[in-house]
Amino acid sequence: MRDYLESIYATFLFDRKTMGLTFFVPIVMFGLSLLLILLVPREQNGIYNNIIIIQGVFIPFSCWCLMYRLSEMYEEGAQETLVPYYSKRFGIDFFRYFIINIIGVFLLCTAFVVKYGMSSLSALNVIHFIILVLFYMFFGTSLIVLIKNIEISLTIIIIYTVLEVVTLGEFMPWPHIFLFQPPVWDPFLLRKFVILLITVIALMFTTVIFIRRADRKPQ
Amino acid sequence: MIRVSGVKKRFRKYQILSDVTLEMEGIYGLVGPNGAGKTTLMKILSSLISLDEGIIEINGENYVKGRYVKANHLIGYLPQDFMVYPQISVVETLDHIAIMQGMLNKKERARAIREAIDKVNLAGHENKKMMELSGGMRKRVGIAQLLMRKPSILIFDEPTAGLDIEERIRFRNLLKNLGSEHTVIISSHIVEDIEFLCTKIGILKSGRVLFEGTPAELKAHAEGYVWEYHVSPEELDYIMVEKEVIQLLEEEDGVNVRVFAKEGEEGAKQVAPRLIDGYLAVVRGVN
Repeated sequence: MRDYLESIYATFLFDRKTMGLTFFVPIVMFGLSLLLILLVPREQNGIYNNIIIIQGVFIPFSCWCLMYRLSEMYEEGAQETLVPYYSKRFGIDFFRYFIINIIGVFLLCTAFVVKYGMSSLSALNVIHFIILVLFYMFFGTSLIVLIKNIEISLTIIIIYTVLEVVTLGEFMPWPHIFLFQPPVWDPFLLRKFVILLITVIALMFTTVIFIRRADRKPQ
Repeated sequence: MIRVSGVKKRFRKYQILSDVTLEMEGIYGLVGPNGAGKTTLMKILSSLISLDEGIIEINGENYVKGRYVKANHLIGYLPQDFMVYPQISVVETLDHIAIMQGMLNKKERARAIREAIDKVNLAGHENKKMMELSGGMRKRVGIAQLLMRKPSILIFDEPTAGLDIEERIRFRNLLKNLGSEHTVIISSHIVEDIEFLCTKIGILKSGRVLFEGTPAELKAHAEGYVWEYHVSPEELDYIMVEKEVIQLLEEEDGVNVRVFAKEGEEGAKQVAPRLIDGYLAVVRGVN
């Protein structure tokens, strides 16, 4: 177990080295979300806006580091060597970043609860956050294994997220994954959760299938 | 030994490999012109791409499962352009790859890295960044990462492509050394790459096997087809245009020109064929 944990730690250090400063972007987004929750006075900041901050500022960046990691496979001269290793280790890589993201979500939820009280945060919101983290992580990994380009993949994610948050999910004719109103357990919310979960599963299979198929054209 | 039997591969409307059957052992050279299907076959063996039909046996056991060869633990593949983690040092790159190979114990990793670095003569370069290495050194890092997982078969795709003469010689010696402990398969379109190195040779052209045998058997295909002319530098231009020149050798009083032809003309003397002559004879269907 000690060896395992040490190797996980070494992999995080390695990711930090390969990514450089971009490694810290999700941490900056976490800090920004935390500051907004803690420092903005209650009266200027509708309580539910804080939930939107967690959904729209922190969670979309949960895919960031994993996408950068997978993008290393598609750099020139690396595919044939790294694809077999990365595809075999995808589960471990996914899990280590998932745990970090969930810790981030729970810290932000704790800050929220400390400021506004326990009754302000619904369990449905917490479940939704976890599913959203899964969604973004698999959305990011699917894009990177399909497009094989980090810039285009990140652009798609950022455009989707910004448009959703800015229009509060009311403008674009595509599936809306955020909750912009305090959740009430009704058929509408149930439908949203089911669709989100099905999408997560579909994206997971897309990643697992296509991660092994990097540039398999014969030469 | 790897026995490849009846392997076929089609990509869209192109038949890349047609019923390829080979027996690879020792230090094996797979040669052929560009587009012959060599890299495709190497990638099939390394389970990077699928095959449509055929059997791949390693020491008598068929390793084709579904449409892929599942022998990653036995086969290590070094692609033509090996480059990973340009900003990271050699030792950090190898350490990370060792973790991905399943070596979780730090001491075990350090030992494996040391051994691999020594084997490929990279000592003294461990702390250089990958992007600071020459092409030959990068390839040696590629071999080092393969050696750490101890495969019994090593596959090299165009191993000397892009290397300067000195690196080419060094790399050839390294391949020779590796051949004493592993089955080594070298794919190349340059016959000189495999000369004096391989114990067995296969020739592919347009996805078909034209020849398989020892270097001596390959040379025998050109028996009677290689002629040597001794000409002055002034005559050289003419002969270069008129004849199929294989090799030039400068002498004090002129140039010795080796020519591939059915019959020699006046002044030509028949000489013993070299590997390249045998290759040309087979590829052109002369014999």
